[in-house]
Amino acid sequence: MATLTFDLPDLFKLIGKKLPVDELSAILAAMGVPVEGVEGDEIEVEVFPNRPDMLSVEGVARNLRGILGIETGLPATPLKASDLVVEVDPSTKDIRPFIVCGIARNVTFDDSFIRSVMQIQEKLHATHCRKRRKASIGIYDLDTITGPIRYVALEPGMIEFVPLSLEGEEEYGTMSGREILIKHSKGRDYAFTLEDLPRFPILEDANGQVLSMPPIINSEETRVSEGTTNLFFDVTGTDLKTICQVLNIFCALLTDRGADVGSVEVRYPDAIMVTPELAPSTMEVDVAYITGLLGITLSDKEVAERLERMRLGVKKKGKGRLEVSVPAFRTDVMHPMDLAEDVAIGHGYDNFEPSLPAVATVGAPLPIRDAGDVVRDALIGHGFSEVITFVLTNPDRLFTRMGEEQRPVATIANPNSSEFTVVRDRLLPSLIETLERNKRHGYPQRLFEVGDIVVLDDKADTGTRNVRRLDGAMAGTDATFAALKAVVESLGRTLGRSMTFEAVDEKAFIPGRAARVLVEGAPAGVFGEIHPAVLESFALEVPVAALEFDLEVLYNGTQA
Amino acid sequence: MELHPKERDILAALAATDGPARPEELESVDPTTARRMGYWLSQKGLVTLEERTLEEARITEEGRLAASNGLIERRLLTILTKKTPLEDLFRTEGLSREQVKIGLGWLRKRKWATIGRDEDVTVLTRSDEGTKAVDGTLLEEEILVKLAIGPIAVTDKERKLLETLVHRSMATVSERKELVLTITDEGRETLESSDDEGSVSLLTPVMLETGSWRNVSFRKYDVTLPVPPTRPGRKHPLPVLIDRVRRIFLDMGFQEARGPFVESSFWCFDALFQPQDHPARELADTFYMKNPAKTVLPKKIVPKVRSAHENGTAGSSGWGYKWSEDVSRRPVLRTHTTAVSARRLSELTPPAKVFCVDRAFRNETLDYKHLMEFHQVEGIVVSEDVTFNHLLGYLKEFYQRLGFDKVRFRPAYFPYTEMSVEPEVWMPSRKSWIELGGAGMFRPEVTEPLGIECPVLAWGLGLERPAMLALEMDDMRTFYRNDADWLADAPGVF
Repeated sequence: MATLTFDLPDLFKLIGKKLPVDELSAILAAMGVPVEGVEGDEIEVEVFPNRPDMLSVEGVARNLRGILGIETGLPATPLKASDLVVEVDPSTKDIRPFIVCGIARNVTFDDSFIRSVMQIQEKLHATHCRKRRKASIGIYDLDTITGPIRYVALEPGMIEFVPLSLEGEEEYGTMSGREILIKHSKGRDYAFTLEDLPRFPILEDANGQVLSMPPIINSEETRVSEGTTNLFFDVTGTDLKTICQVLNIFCALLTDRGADVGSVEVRYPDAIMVTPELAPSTMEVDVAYITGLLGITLSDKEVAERLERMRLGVKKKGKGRLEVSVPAFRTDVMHPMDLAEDVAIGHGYDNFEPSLPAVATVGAPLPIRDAGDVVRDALIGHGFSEVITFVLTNPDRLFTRMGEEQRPVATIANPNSSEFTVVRDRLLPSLIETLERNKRHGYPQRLFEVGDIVVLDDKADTGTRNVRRLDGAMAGTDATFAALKAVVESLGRTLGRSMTFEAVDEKAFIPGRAARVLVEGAPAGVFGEIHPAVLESFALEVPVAALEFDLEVLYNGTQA
Repeated sequence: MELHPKERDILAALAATDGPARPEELESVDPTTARRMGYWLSQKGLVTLEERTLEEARITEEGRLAASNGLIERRLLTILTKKTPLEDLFRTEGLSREQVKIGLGWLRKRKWATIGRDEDVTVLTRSDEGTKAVDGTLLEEEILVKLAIGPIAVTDKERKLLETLVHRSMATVSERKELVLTITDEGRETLESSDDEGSVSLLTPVMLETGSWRNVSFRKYDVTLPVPPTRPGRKHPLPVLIDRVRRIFLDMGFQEARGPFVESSFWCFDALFQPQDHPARELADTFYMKNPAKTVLPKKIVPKVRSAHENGTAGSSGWGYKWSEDVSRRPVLRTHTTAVSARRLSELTPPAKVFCVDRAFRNETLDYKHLMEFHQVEGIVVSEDVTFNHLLGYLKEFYQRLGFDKVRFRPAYFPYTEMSVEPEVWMPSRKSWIELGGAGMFRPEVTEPLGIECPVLAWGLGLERPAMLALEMDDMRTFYRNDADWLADAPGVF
């Protein structure tokens, strides 16, 4: 979840209007930017991952201007061509193959602007750029650079420059590419993006001065400061589409702050790109498709008006058909359905009048759930209390304390605690553990659970199968084989099933005091008196008798 | 006023005692009962309850040694004769140099010895006082003997001496609060007027057989008195809520579904158009399985899902990356029950309404508001005739049937739905809107590869959270702890 913090006065300046905080919060939430908190002049909002263009106060303001009707339709994207050239060396191809760039002139930095530029980099890097692996932004003082710029990948030892020191850090000396990964704070944070590569990518200007080593750090030489008025910026990465999106989002922010964005020629060995490419994409859509999806009645004009409030451009293409221009900074519009959502938000979710459709279907419970209801009622009648326990457990509980050898069981590859490392293939240990936790409450205690276990099964597409179980336990001086057999037999009568019993040897039970239950001849489960060694390992000081059933077999006499 | 036999016993015992009495001091009454009953008697005005602060002295280890071996000064006194050299005293068996020094101080203080010099040696001589003391017993020593038996109450008389013992680390004094009961005048009157003779408490089978019940009067009970709580066999509150939810959807014509906990990444993520580098798929959020190592994917659907991710489908541009079947085969513990909906969608023929209430898993660390496994309420409506407005209609209907009168909707984002929405309900007790889950219409990139060509309404709602709010709980783990008292006493009504 990405959150964004900014100053309210800055937002009001950008939208050109002041609003009471309560009203603003309600409008933001309805726009899909829920407010997390307001403290003094600072507001924190959540931005959904499909709208990285709103990861800045400028982006939020841009959308808000539309919603408030201050400025609707496509935002302007002025772009001047520059003569700056970036040459892409073939050596970057297997390293970090893509780069797009841009420049901005007449930048007037103030605190809010600088903070926003820092924040959008940080937020985009963390989310849309997938921790800088997929894309990363570099920003430089254009006036310290002499074109053409070269994007090249060199052996780490061949790279030498003074990396940028961050706020609160002492200045660094000249370092090699490898040293930066070890000694620089950002180098350590993002070493994983480069450390396994034979060469590291760098940008250098015509004088051989290093601009940056993406995606790690810029050089001290090209540092942007409050006095900087002209910027050069690049986005490098592994995915061309993503880096273009990131570039476009950043350019929109600069334009909103009054800077003049300019394009740069990026010369790949086999192609030339002029970036950024800020022309909107277009999508034709039928009004009936949108209103049909949403289930509301709106005219062509009303649909167009709602789209324009969401900062999309709209042109009429005959009756009932619209051509919609989608700004280059929007990353989420992949299908006409996405336009329908913009209409819905532009319309306001609160303005819908929810209703139920006439779709005739017949309700049907799962038979196994019905079976569960019958046995739950029956056991409650016998004074058993229902419990629910975690499906996740560990081998100590599942095997060792039950006196069993380890057996193969569904196992988590990345557990976060030694308590929960496997999926239970037996329910009883959870019940005995519940008895252990309830020791202080006195006896008798009777409890049961109807729940799923997971067994390994080669024939299943997932390699496992869920099995619904009924397990129960009684603890106290009255917890005898005979007492439990009375419950089991009563259960058989309740279910209308004939039961037969045969002696069985199970490690958890006292030898000679456990029975297998056959329902209509099919083995449905076992019950008996729990072995004192097991009781001891769960620190129980009273006898326990327990039952373990496959619910489906118990209920049907067979497995479906 | 009717008295319980135990109440009468207590009043009688109090009446026999002069003045206030501690529950332990009452004759033939169990102190625990006396304490509990005392409270009820005080509510009725028959006794008064008072808290008294008691000072209590206890012996220390040091004190115990002195009680059995004698005070140091006494031990020194017994070996003192005339002109005993100081150095001899320092060699007393079982006493350190330090202790002997303390003892010498007390010998002087008690005037039991005089110090002089004999030639170049410092010597001590027993005084007359000392000689008298040899066969006597100090008051401190008497107290020590009492303390060695058990704690004693501090009286003004002994306070000074106890202070000395405390100073010598032989005793400690602490305060204790204590309950005392005093019978009131009304209590005495009630006791006198409650003549219990001729009444019986139990109706026995013999009485019924012989008809002797006709000749006895039954003791009347105080029906307001508390009784020990009982622990019934009953359903756990969470399954009770699950039963309610199931009933609501069955009533609305939904079919119930289930699916495996261990699921392929394919059904959990890919079939739901979640790109393979989506943060929700990272190790920090999802439990991946070591065993089983991989899963088998549905051959016919895989190419369609692949192309939805890579190039889009039906007018969509897709995510535009290289989709990997290997990544898709990795088994996970399903992170949402939406995996069950995806499977059902691949099998069903519209129109259909399907629901599922079951567990999902997230790589969370267990704490009061996070569970690594929890329940979700999943539902889909598949029909040519459904709209976003109907989705809001179902959500509103569901929550209203569950008892939440006010429901509102907020935009949200999920990779597999478009219009995405988060329903919120108004909690009057908290005076706030509570967000309870996610919903939306499945994207065509989800439905078309699964062979569905009509709109699909879908939701995945939380269960523990509303249950917790309804039961006014503040720790989600309570559901899974199954504390016997909680199970017996938690409300079973939502």
